[in-house]
Amino acid sequence: MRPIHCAAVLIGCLCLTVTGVASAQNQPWLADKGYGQGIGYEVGNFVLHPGIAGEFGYDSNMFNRAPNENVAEVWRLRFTPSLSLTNETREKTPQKVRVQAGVSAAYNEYIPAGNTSDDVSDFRNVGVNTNADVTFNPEGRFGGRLFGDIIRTIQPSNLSDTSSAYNRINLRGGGEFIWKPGGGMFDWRLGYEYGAVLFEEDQFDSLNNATHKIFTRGRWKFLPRTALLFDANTAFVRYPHVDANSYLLGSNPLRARVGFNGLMTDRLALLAMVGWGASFHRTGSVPVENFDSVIGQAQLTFYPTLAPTDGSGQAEAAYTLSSVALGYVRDFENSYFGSFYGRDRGYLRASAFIVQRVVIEGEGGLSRVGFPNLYFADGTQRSGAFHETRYDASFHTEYRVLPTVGINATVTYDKNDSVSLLTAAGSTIEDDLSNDRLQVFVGARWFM
Amino acid sequence: MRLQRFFKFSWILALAAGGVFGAAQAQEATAPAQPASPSVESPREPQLSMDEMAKEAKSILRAMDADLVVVSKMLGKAREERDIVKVLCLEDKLSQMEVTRKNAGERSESLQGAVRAQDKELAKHAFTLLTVLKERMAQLSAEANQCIGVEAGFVGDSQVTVDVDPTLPEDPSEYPSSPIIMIPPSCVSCVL
Repeated sequence: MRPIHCAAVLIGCLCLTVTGVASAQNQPWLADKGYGQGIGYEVGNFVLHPGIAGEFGYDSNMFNRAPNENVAEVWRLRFTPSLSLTNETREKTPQKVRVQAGVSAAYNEYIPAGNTSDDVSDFRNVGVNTNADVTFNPEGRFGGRLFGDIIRTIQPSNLSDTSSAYNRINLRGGGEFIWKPGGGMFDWRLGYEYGAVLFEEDQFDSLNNATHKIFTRGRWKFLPRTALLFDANTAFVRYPHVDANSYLLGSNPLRARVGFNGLMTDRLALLAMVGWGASFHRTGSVPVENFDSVIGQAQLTFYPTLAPTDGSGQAEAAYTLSSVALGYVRDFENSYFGSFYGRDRGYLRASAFIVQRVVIEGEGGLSRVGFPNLYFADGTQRSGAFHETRYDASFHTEYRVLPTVGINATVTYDKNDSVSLLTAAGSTIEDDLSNDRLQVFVGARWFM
Repeated sequence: MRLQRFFKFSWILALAAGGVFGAAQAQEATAPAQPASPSVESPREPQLSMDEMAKEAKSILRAMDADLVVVSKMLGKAREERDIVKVLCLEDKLSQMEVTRKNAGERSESLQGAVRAQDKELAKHAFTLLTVLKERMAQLSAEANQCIGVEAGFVGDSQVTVDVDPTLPEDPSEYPSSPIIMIPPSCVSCVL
C-alpha cells in the first residue's frame, strides 16, 4: 500500500471516531453529491470538492408552533461551506481502498419578520456535518467497510428560550464485512453499528440514547442493474438517564425485509421490499406498547429521457437526466413521545438535470403517523392512541451560470394535522401539536 | 400411486433410451469397419515391382509400429493422470490399431510368399490390402490424437465481460436507505 493510501485510511479511521448521521442535511446539493459536486481538484490520488453557499430566505414558523400560538416568522441567512474528498477519480480506476469523507457547516442567522416578538436572533448557531466512509478491497471477493458520521443539528423547540432548543449531536460509527462472490453478482454483508444521540441542554438529558445495531443484508444482481435484496437488523436502544424520565423505555427492535430493486425495462425501475418489524420494548414504569406489523417500501421510477450516446457507446457529456418516482413506505421508529410511532407515507418525486445547466427537483408526500397510548412518567395515561396526518412538499432548482457557479431556489412546506396533548399529569393545559411551516430560500453557491 | 406410475414410466423411458443408445452404438461400431474390408477390385492398382512392393510393405509395418508406440505412450500418460475419459478413448483406438497391425502383418507375410513364388497377381492383391490397412492405421492414429480428456475442457479461468448500455439510468439496484429517523417533537412539554 502506498503512503498516500495509508494516510487516507488513517484519516478515515480518525474521522470515524467523530463522525455521524448524514441524513439531516437540508441543502439538496449536500445530500446528492452526484449533482452537488463539481469536477474537483485532483491532489495526489485524491479529488477534493470544496464549495460554499449563501442563501437568504423566509421561514413562516421557526418554532413549529400551532396556528393558535405565537407563530414566529423570520428572515433567514444561511451560509454553508463544505469540503469533501474521495480517492475515486473520474476514470473510476479500481482501488484497493476507497475513501470518501466530507465536512460541512451551516451557519444560521435569524432576523425577526412580521409581528414576531421572540428574540429569534439568539438562536443563531452553526450546524456541522462530518462523515467518512472507507471501503477495503471494493472490487474483491472479500472486503470490508468502516463508516461513521457526526452531525450537530440545530433545532429550536416551540419555546423561544435557547436553553429549550433541541440542539443535539448524532454520532454513528460502524463496520461491515463484505463477501462478493461471482464477480459482484452476489454480495452479502454482516455488520455492526453504534449510534448515539446527545442533547446539548441538560433538561433533555433524559432523551439521550445509545443504539447498538447488528445488521445483515444481501443482494443478488441477476441482471446488471436489477437485484433481489434482503436486509435484517436488530438493535438495542437504551436511554442511559431513564431514571429522570421513565416514560421512555428501552427496546430491541427487529426488522427483516426481502424484495427487489432495479430496472425492469430500460426506462422503468421498481423497488419493492416487504417484511416484518417489531419494536420489542422492555418493561418499565409505564405499560409496554409495541409495534408488531408489516413494514415495506415500494417505489416505481420512470426515466423519461435516456442518456443519448455519441455513437461510440459513450454517453454524451451534455444530456438530460430525469426521473419521476411514485412510492410508498411503511416503517416504525422509536419516539420521544413514548415508545414508538408507525408511519405510512406516499410520495411523488421528480428530478431533472438538463444539459448540465439546470437542476429541478421536487417531492411531495402525505404521511399517516400513528402513535400508541402515551403515558406520563408516573404511569398515568396521557392520551389514547392517535394519528397525525403530515403533508410535506419541497422544490429545488438551480441554474448554473458557470460550470462552478449556480443560482438556486429552495422551497419547503410541512404541515402536521395532529392532536392536543396534556402538558403534565393532573394538568388541564394542552399543547397543540399541529403546525405548518413554509421555508423559502434563494441563493448562490460556488463549487468544484 | 404417483410414485408407481413414475417408476413404470421410468422403465419405458429407460428402454427407449437404451434402444436409441444401442442403435447409436451399433452405428458407431459398424461405420469404422468399412475400410477394414476393402474389395479386392480396388481401383488403386500398384505400379511397383514385386521387390519394391516387398520393401514398401516392411516400411508400412514399421510406420504402423511407430504409431502403436505413440498411442501406447499416450494411453500410459492418461492412466497416470487418471483421466478416465481419455483412457477409454485411447484404449478403444489402440485395440483397433492392434487388430489393424495384426492384419497388416498377415498381409505382409502373404506378400512375401507371393514374391518368393513370383506370383504377381497375389502380390498385387496383398499389397493393395496392405495399403488400405495403412490408411486405416493412419486414420486411427489421427483419431487417437483427437481423444480429449477432462483437462481439455478446462482452459483456464473463465472471464465474463458485461457491456451495459450507456444510455441506461445509473444503477438503481443499490440497497435502499433507511427511510425515517428519530426527531424530537416541537413541543417541549411532550418530552418532559
